[in-house]
Amino acid sequence: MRWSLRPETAGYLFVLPAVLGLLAFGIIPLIYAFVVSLHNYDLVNPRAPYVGLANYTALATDRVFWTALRNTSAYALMLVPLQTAVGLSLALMVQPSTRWIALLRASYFMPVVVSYVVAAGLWEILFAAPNGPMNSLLALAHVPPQLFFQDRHQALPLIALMSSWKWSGITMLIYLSGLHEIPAELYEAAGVDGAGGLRQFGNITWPLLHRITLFVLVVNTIEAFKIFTPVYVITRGGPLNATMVLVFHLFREGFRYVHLGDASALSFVLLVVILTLATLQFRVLRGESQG
Amino acid sequence: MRAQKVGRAGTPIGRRTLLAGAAGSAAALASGALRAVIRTEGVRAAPSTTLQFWYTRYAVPLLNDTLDGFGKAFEQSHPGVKVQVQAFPYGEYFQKINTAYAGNQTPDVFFVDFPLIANYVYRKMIVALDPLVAKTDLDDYYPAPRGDMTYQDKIWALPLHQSGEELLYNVDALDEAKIRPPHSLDQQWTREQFLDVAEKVVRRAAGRVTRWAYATTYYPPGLYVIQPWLAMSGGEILSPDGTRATGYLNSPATVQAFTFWGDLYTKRQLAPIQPTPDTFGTGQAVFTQGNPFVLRDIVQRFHNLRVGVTYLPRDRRCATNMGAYHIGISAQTKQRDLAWEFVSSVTGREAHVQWVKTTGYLPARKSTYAELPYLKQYPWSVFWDGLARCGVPRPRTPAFDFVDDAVTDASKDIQLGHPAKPALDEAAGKIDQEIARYK
Repeated sequence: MRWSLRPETAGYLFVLPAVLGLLAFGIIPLIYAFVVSLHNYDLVNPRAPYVGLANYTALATDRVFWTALRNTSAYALMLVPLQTAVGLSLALMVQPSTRWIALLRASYFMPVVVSYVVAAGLWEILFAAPNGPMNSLLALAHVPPQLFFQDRHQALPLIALMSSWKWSGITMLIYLSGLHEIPAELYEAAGVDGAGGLRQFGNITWPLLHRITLFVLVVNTIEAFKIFTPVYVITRGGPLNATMVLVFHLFREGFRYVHLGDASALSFVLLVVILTLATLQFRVLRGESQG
Repeated sequence: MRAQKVGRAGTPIGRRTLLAGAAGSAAALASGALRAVIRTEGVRAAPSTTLQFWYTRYAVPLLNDTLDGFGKAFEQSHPGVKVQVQAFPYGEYFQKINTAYAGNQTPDVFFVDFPLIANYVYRKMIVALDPLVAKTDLDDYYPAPRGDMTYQDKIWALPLHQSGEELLYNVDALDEAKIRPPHSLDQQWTREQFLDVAEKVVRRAAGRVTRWAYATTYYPPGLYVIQPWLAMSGGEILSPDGTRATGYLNSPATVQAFTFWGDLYTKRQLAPIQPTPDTFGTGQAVFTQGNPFVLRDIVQRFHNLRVGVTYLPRDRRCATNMGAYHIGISAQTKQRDLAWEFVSSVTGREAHVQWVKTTGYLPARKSTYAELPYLKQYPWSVFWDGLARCGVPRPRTPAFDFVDDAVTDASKDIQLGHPAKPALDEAAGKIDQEIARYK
């Protein structure tokens, strides 16, 4: 006796493993985290008292939280345009396919495959104050030693610069894929009409990369708001809380002080911030492209 | 033998002297002597019983080998028992213990840093050892370790050793400056004398420091490192009952002490706010703050460096930081008797002697001190005197991690030139809020 599945049933079965994975590792932990955020949970005591929204309201008076939110936003404002611009510039530079260009592509992409912890450690050594390699170079130019990561005005921009160096290779790759989708005929026609390189970029490349740029901006913004590793490795939130960012604050609350309820509440606030920003970016940039 | 020469600045520590203990220990390990120091009598384990033991990995492999060796020796004296020993880097270890506990997966026996005992007790993570440890054995511990292992009148973990930091110095640099540091406590430098010496030995060229006077071993210097500098001037971190920081951490004495500390880095430019690796070992600093284990490590790694030891300076009083790793039993263990058997083996008299000789740390047990005559000689005598007469324990509170971070953050800010009073006011306020959570 032969049996057969209805096509839609077969479809459901095909997606079932993915749905189960999503439930087990995405949806259920998310719901659990929300439940934890309503309790005074310390990772050990299973009967953590229910505190309602107290963990959320406590954030309103948590000065470190507001500092972290301000710093994270400032970091995103520095990093996202920088990483996008550098990534696009690199992609334009390495667009032609030759052997030497392939070597350049690989070298620009190299920082992406370096461990973030190792990269942060290297930058810490390079910019060590006051007698590190970078300060020794500055001394040759008679520039007084800088504090770099120990300076409250320099630390966060330096971390943004480091992150840009680390991740621009990814942005470059995304833009490269977009550039390869643009038909060569458009450039040929523009060339025949006498358009120079800058004009071709302004009238062909940039408009046709609009969807890619939207994607890059959204992804880079999300990643920027999740900044953690260099802060953990190099500055630990200092000096004077100048590099205290949301995820590091969350980590300290959750895994050092074992305030899992507060940390979960903080993670949901971070989720809302990121979702709001991503939605805004989609709306504004989509509106631009349709207008 | 350069390392054994006696310089005018005082007695440098002979590499041979320091290495002798380590070499002896290595040989002992190789010959299986450890098997003899682990007691053979004990509870009879069911076949194929596994006992888990976690510790924080040391940078010096010999110490990890010794701890692993304790596990192997226990297996041999307890047929049928498999000791699963796991080491984790310091930065991950405590988080690992917390998450393992949440998942009901803690090891049976694990390293407990003594300031965390209060937190583990509050969260019911370790068991009291009072019913298990014999009074005669307890009497073998010095009062300070007895105090460390006790919280709320119960004993929670047993120490592996005692440790405290003093000033290690570069003998050649002080010889050159014709300075002889004191080797007895009654001649200990005052803070002002130390400043004078530091100003003499710091080297500057073209507006840059080319050799620092002082650098701490651990960066950023946390509560453990700073505490003696506060205590020597009458500064405190928490109230004696451990419930308040306001009025203590931001008291005039503590603010004054922190200002002195910060000035070493900013105003006086005697210490680097961010060191290059091995600042002291490579001759980039004349003084560092280190314990006997750090001393042994430096002497072993920097063969051309002649190192001496003197006391941390005094102000209104003398002060030395103190503390040690302890070993405790998880409240989640299902084999408490066997776990205790292991703890008592590793912290027992014979193993204690072995551990102290291997690490260079100071003993917590009176019997070990009596058995190791070298401890009465320089340089160990400096560490021993400092610990016995000037030891200051870290605050005891379930919120210790928070207190440690808040004090460290404030100290970093003060090191960078931020005024001490507002930084300490803010830290004290935050700490009070945190401690209130544990009431």
